[in-house]
Amino acid sequence: LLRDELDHIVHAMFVLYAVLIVTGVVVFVTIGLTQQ
Amino acid sequence: MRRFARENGLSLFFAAIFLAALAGQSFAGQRNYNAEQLEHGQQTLSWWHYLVTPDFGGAVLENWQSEFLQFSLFIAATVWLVQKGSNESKKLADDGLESNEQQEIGPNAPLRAPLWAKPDDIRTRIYENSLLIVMTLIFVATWFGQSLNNWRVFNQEQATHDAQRVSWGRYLLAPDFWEKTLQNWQSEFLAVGTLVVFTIYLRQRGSAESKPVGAPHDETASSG
Repeated sequence: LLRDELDHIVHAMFVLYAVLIVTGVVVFVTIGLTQQ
Repeated sequence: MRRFARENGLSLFFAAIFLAALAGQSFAGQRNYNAEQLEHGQQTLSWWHYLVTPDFGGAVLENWQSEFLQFSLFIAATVWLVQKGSNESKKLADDGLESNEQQEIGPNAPLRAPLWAKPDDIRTRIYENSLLIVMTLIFVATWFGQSLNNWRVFNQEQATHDAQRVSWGRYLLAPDFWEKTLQNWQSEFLAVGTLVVFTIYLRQRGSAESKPVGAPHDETASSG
C-alpha cells in the first residue's frame, strides 16, 4: 500500500510538469499559427 | 501533506518559481508592449489580451527551446563524452552506452524495474532513450512555436514600417530568427560548460550538483 501511494505521488509531479509543458506548447503554437 | 511537500520539494519549488517568473514576465511584457504601442500611436492591450499575442508567445518559447536543447545535448553528450574531475560527468571508464549488466536491462533487470526495461527488445530500445527522445521533441516543438510567433511579430513590424511581409519559410532564414535563437543557445552552452568545469574545483556542501567537499579535484562523478 505504501509503495502504491508513493508511486501516485511521483506520478502527480510527472503529470504536473507534463501538463505545464504541453499546455504551453499547444497554446503558443496555436497563437503562432492563428494570430495575424 | 507535509510528507508530500518534503518528498517533492525540488519539483514543487521549481514549478512555483517558474509560474511566478512567467507571471512577472507577462506583467512586465504587457507594460513594455503598451509603451511601444503608445509611442506608435496604436491601441494598448489588456493583460489578458497580451497573453495571447505572438509577442508574449515568442518571448516565452525562445527561452523554452534553448533550455530543452541544452538538456537534450547534455543528456546525449554525457553518454559519450567525459570530463575528468567533474561531478557532471560519468567515470572515465564508463563512457558509451555501458553493458546490459550496468544498465540493469533484460535478465539483469531487478524485480521492480520499469516494465520496458525487462524484455530487451524494441520496447527496451525505446525506453532506454525515452528521456532524450522526449526532451528533444519538446525542443523541436518549442523552437517551431518560437519561429511562428517571432515570424508574426516580425511581419507586424514590417507592416508598421510599410515594408514587405515575408513567408514563414523566408523568416527561418532571416537574421532576426537566428539572432533570437543563437542569443539563447550561447548562454545555455556557456552555463552548462561552466557547471561541468567548475564542479572540478568548486564545492557546495550538501548539493547533489557538487562533489563532497573533501573529494579530490581529479575524482570524477563522486556524488554518483
